[in-house]
Amino acid sequence: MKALLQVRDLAQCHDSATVFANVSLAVAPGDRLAVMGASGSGKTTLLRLLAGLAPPTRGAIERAPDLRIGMVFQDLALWPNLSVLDNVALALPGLPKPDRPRAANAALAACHVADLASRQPGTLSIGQQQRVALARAIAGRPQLLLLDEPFSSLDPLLREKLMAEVNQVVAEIGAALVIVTHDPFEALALARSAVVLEDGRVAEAGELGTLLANAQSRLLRQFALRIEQFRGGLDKTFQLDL
Amino acid sequence: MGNLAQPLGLDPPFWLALGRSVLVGACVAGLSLAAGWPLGVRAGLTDFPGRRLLLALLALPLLLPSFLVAIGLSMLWRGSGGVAPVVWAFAGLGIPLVACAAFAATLALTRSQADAARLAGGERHLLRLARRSAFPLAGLAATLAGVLTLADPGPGQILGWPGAAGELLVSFAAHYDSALATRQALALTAVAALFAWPLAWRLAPEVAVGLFARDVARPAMKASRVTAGWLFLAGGFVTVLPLVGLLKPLLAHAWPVARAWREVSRTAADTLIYAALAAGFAVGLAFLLAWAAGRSASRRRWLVAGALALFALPPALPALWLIPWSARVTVGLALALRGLPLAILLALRAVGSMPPSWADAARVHRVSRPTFFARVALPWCARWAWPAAAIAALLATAEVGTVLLLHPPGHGSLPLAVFTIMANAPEALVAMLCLFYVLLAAALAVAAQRFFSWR
Amino acid sequence: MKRFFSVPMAFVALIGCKPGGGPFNSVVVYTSVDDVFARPICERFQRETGIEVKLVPDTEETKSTGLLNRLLAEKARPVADVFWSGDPARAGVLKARGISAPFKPASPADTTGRYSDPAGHWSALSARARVILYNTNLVAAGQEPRGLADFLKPEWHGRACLANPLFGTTSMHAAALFEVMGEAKAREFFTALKANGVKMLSSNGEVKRRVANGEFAFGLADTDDAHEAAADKKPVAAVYPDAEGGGTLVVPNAAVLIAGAPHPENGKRFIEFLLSAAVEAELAKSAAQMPLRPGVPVPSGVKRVEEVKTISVDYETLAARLEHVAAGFLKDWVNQQ
Repeated sequence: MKALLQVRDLAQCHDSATVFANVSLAVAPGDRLAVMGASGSGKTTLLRLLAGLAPPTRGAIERAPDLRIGMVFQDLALWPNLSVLDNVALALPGLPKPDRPRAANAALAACHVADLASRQPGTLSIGQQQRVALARAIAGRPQLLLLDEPFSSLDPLLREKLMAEVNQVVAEIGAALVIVTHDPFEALALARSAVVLEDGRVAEAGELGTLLANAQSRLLRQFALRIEQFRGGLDKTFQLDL
Repeated sequence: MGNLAQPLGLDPPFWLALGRSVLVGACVAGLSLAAGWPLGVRAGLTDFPGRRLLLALLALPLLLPSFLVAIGLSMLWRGSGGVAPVVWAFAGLGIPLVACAAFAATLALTRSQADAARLAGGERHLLRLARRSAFPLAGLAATLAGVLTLADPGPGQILGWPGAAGELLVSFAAHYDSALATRQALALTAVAALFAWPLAWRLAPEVAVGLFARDVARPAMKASRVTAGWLFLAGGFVTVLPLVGLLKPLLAHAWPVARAWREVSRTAADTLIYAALAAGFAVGLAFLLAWAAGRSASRRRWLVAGALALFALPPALPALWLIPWSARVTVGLALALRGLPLAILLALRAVGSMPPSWADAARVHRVSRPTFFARVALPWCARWAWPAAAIAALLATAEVGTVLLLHPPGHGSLPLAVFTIMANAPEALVAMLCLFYVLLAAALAVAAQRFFSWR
Repeated sequence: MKRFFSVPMAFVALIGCKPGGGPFNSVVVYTSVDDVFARPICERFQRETGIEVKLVPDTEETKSTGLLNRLLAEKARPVADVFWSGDPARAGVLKARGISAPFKPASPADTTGRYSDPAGHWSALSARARVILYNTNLVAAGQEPRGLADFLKPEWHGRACLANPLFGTTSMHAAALFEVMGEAKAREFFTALKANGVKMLSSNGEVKRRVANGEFAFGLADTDDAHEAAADKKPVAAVYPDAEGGGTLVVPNAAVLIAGAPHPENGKRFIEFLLSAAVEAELAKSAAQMPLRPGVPVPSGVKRVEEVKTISVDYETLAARLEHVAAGFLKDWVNQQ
């Protein structure tokens, strides 16, 4: 199947300092890709380039014609003066106006926040805001969904719950997913493959299970080590299905 | 040598007067900052009975033309000239200006920031943090107050400390020499820019620091009765005292209500129209410029510095150029220049407080620019636009010279009526008109506050 | 959202109607005469003729940039029909700059022609006089100042005041002194004023106020200032200076027809009305101004112009003299205050 997104030799510089270089990747329909790296490794910058929000310093990004993208931002970027319903409906410019509320409501229902439609974002809990942001991102039935560390500020239980919901929703709409995260748990829960950015380059890339079994980057090695510790300490009663 | 002695072809007395103006400006800026900054922070941070009343008190001098404040002061004290009374008259405007700016900046403090400060060092630390975060806006407002004095001849003339603006007036009104006046105005503007520039450079980027917090509830500090009492005393000192001087004649005479009401009803509609036009033009232009400056620090600096220089330009000068197009719209346009600098500051603040991710979210989801602008950016900015409009309207209303030069016959403003009547009218009538004026402005301010629910 | 737009839209609708122009049957009057006196006269004209008067008043109180500047700037496209000046000096400036048009009224108030322009560029009516206003609590009976020489007496050192001589009637007074005394003696006089601590204030209104509240024993002001202070029951009285010497300066009003006026016929009609006995009688009553036309009744306390010993100056040349001294000696004098 033809790729939705093809990235070749991408490089990004900030005030003459290189953030990363020589990044190449491809996203095909149905792919689940995690972009991983420590803070400051350029994950969010890469995601913005993929979304077309900024031009790359070097390299090329090819997108499928008329590629529909949905995105959940790190700060969620909900528009505070609009109601929840309007936040979602405004992000549906492709639909005729009378159809937008129905589509928006459907997206809100898929994310379990249909009852909040008339509220202002500022009056919602953080978990509710995450769901609204997700609803906005999927409302236009995107072929590619981009998530920028959307769960970083949540408690583990809520995070698990939301990740399960995301999995379900992404499966329902059949979108490809690119998630930016520094947390291997998030990557494991949502993605099947990963790109790890370290020291301004791609440290490793490939299927997640393979990567974890033979970790090269500091980030994944550290994670694998911690898993081993758990296995030993808990007397192998705690099994992780890698 | 002649060129050295008379740069720009302006004679030594002008430069001497300019020196006096700069001294007044510096004193006013310093005093306004010293008094208005803590006052605004306190009022923004603490809850006490009558807080709204205090804010209204603080806003009151902003409604009055400076010459009225000067006359009010001169009625209370038998001044023998000198720099102090002039500084006092201008500080009556400057202190509330700075206090309002500091107040607005303090409201932007988030509850979590406040809690963090409390944990680190108690209420005292919170106060320190609030002062620190309010400084850029308060500092710029103080600078504006200082610069504002340069262009205003009224108090200096009345209280016997004529400055460069007075020289300009002589060129206009006694010599009818607008070329000389223009040169003097340019010199005045250049000097203002010279002093204001470094500050603008330093503070402009900070003024537009974004607000990212989702929880912006006001951190409430409890004020003791003593503190509240002090706040009121300080607020009253700058605002009520000059008013007492102005209204004193009403104590000794019968109130000429009917006669004053006739003037008010003759001029009220046009006064409101001029104020609304000026506010509309000023806010519209300010937001256009702020949008254009965007997040670029250097463009913001230029904009703030330009705004400061504009404040130093005597308003009658652009008015003179516009005389051939005398109409109500022209009056509004010329008056808008008065409020534009402050509107620019607030617009920068408004635009700066929008996280870039909002526009990104719109772009990713293919929301068109006009739609995003109309549905998200504009309403967000409106929260700041209304206070900006209110301030622009008030500053415009207090400006008399422009209206005198530009208004279509039969369409004067209320301050112009006060101004033209006061020469030889009974004191009680002038006082009564001032009272009506203050009441009208206060009523508008209260209505605006209710209607647009300022925080 | 709707609210955000609805308010500005309402204002656009409100001002959409054309403000200028106005009804055809109107007359636009600019005046430097105080609003409280000028407006009732205009309202009377409107009642009697049905012609709407659009009054644009000015004042010497804060002097912003003045209507004269507006008239100069509007020279190419005049808006005003009539300039009702509080003094002939400003009328002279208009004549010199080609802003005024000649007009000979059918029935001039100034029957002798002494105060009017011979070419008809301004017609004089009711006059004020420059008087010494003194505080009756501070000046003992019998010690009243009698003339300008009193300003130089050592016993009044630092206790007398006058308004800025670059503006208003004070500027005209200064020009008249230069005309009558000659350049050298006038300079000497002004220098001596400064030496004797005579304080310069911003306006005649300030002189009135600060003499009335006792800051100064006396000062130079106009008859209408004296009249107003007395009406406010202030402890003041006025002296017509130099009755035995050089005389008092009389400052008549001047009615000027603007060249290229949009409503010239109404303008002429307004000027004829201003010069009528009825208006002079009303100004005598409201502003204590002295009628020029013989036989106009005056209330008690208001003098007739023929009762006052007047400085003999040529009013036609005063404007030029004023521009000359204001740009030279007087400007320096003011700057040294």
